[in-house]
Amino acid sequence: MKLKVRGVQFSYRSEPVLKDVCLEVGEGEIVSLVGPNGSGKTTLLKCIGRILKPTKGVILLNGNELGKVSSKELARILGYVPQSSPGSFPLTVFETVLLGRKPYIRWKLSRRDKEIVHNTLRLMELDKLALRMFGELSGGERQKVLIARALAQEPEVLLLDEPTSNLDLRHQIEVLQLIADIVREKRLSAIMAIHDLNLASMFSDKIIMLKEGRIYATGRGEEVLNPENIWEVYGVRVTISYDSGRPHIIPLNTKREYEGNPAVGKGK
Amino acid sequence: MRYKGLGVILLSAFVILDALLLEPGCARKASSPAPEELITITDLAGRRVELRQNPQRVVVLYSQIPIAMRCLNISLDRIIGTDAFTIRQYSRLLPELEEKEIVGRHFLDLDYEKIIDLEPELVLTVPGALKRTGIAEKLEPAGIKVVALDFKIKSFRKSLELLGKVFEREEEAKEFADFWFGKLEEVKRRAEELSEEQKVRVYPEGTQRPYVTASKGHTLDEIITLAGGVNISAGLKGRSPEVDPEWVVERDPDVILKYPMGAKYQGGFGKADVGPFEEMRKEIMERPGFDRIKAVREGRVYILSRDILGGVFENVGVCYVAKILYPDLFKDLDPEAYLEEMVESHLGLDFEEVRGVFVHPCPWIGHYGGKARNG
Amino acid sequence: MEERLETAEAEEIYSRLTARKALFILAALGGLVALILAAASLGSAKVGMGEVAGAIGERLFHLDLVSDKVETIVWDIRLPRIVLGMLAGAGLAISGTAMQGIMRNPLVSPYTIGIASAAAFGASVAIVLGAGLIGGEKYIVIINAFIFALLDAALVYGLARIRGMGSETLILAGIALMYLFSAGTSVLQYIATEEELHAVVHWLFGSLTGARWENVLVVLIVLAACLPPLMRHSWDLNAMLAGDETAAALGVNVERVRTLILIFSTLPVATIICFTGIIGFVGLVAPHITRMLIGADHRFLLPSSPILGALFLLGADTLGRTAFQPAVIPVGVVVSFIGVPFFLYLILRERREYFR
Repeated sequence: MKLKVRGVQFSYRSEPVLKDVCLEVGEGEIVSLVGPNGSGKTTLLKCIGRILKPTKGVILLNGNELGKVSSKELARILGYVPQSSPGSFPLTVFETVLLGRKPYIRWKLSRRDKEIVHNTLRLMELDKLALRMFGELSGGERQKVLIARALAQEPEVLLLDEPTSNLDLRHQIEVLQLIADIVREKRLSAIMAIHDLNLASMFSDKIIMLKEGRIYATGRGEEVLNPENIWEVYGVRVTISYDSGRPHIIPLNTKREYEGNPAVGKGK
Repeated sequence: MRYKGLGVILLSAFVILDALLLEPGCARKASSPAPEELITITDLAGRRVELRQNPQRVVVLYSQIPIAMRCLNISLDRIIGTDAFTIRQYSRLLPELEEKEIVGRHFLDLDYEKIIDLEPELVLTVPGALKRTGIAEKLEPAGIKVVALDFKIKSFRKSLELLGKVFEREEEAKEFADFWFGKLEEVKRRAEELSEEQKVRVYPEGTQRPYVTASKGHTLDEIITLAGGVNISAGLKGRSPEVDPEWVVERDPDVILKYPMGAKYQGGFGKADVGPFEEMRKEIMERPGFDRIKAVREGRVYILSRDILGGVFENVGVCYVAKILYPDLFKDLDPEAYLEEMVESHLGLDFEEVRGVFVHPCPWIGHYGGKARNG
Repeated sequence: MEERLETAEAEEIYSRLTARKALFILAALGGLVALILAAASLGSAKVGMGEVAGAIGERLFHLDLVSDKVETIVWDIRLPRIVLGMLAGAGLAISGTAMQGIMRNPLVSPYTIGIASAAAFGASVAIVLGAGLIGGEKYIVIINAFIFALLDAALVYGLARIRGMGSETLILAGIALMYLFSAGTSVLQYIATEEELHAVVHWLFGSLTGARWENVLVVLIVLAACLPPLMRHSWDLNAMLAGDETAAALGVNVERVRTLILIFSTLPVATIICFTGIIGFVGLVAPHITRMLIGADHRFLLPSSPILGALFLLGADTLGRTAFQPAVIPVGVVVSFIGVPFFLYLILRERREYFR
């Protein structure tokens, strides 16, 4: 196992947001964090990325405690992709991705730095856009640039906060596919906070479902995504289809659909 | 019987006409002025005003006015109200003003209701106030007369005459005007004999700020010209333009005069401390590049007190400046003696009590006064 | 073989990016040198380039080329003014750049945190109440202004610290204090006599008249001391542009960087405005234009915006003292006149990436 999270706790003021969270991610594995709004997905991600400091708990990477590592070192290990980027400054795509090299640069850029940026852009199919202004790109392209920036850090772990929330269907699939390919190819570990259960089901090796700051369920998609769990955590009645070979969640929104459907289990 | 209706109509008409003829203001006054006491004058703003001669209740809104009144032997008891600035300005010469009601901060910032409340007959101010505050429109409907006096030299005689006429002091007015302009004439006469090359070139500054000079229209310019000097800034646009230090150094004036308007310390009556003036002098002489100027090299840098510039003491100011610019030509001129005469004969005060520093440095003076109240 | 091709490609893209910026810096420097020469030969005294050269030669090499008067005009009046103009422009510009960086807002100026209002208040206190915190008669206004400027920065820091030094907090705290000090100044103006009012209002106008080598030296030292720390944080500033979270994820100690930049950009501005009064616009316009021309990478932005700032201010002052010679229009006034059309232009141009 590569990344282990043990007993992480986080409180905002005196409100506890995360309570005793444990999880593990292996090499080449993609883990999705799912759960309703306010369940703590983003907070957990930020705690792992040390953007927020957990009040309790330990995070280990290959056995080393990340809490003891300097923030500069940490930036060479963890690549964080935010949901969006504030955009009131004129930077080219190249410069934006270049920022990912910051943990390695003292002042001048080495040849390697420029190479890595270039290669990363190629990987994300952004090389034609290298000298365009970041602010002029479409939503999907911008998201890819942010991922490229995190990749330029040459991280071992990728943390992604809702990478698809502002994208259309095609870009959602495209971006997630790219992430999956890169993670497998480079043997990275990826933790993704995502609210679309079906996408999570399509692209993750493991799903962790959070409810009110605690882990409610962990496991493979088929294990975690069932109507009972979804009712408990989301309070929504659903039915699961396996036509595509993976669990696909179909919400039921009328009483009649629920009552008339034999596939629905005996819930409350 | 027919005439009863007509009688009612006539009676009503008579009553209505009677009511219309009665002025609303009349009810406030104890008695309306008798026609023979009314005079018509034209004030220094060009307005014709009809008012009762020798008013007993007057509000004055400009600091020179009570001084002029005292010089004409008009009792200051008639003053029932004035502004704070006026009280402050000549507090040494006219301490009785401190007892008067305060009607505002200065002639542009007044409490008109308070003025009306005091029920004066006459308000004396200056033309600038009329234009900028519309004081006449505010006070005249309440039956208060507003008269403007102008203390610029070219209007001074007329102002004195007007004051004399209003307060029945026409002889004293003429006497004082002759005395006042007499000294000025003396200086002008001698200065006219100077040739262009002999004339002294002066760089004036009219405020506490550095490099803000005084050009045509400014009192300082007027004084310098009357004293026979040449103001190097006279041709510049605006009354108080800010100039480039380079230019002053290049023009190399013979004398530098400064009136530090805006400074906390202004010297003048009752203030004998030269310290602040000496510091101002040093500040000028130590300015970058100024050490090359002739005036600085010869030490001919003078600070002038507000009390001798403008208004009733402006002619004294001219005398001081004349003596500074041409010490030989005006060797026998004694501005201090003249000031003493003004203060003792015309203001009825003891000069020793109000002595102070009016010009610094003053090479012909022994001391600036020992009985000064504040140092 | 392929690897080398890729490296070459990467280098090429990067150099295309930087070539334009380098060119701009050189052009700006060239422009500045030309402006210095022009400013040195213009003035209300008839002292042209030849005499200026002579005066410099006289002072440095002990030759006897020009009259005493010319030498004084050049060395004691004109040159200090030119140098102060450049340093002030540079200082205001670089402070503005750094502040725009930590507040992630291109419309911020060095005065956004209120130091101008605080300095004005300090000066007014000295002028109207005759009271200062320390210092003799002569320096009381300057020292008071400086102390209050620093006080304001400290207060902003304190207020922002409570809420974690976020960029919005800084701006809000700055605006609050700005209003507070402005109100204080207004009260003092109200109770002041006419003459004191004059002096206060005058202090508010930026002016380079009366520049002396002693003042210039102080500004130079402060600027020289604050420049390296600011430039050292170029990468951190770049990271902070991407958002506090991303910056933290890239290893930047956001709170610490904000605090340091606050200190090193406040000091030059406080020093400058004590000697020159309040010169507006430069601290906002120079970084803004520079960014429009060479992008937001602070490694290039931080060295270039001071050059533009120096150009702007020196140009404005030279205009102000030659247009109506020998009368002088204070540089603060000239700069406002030029600054307003610039803003109108910005509004009309409406670059989308700015106002999203």
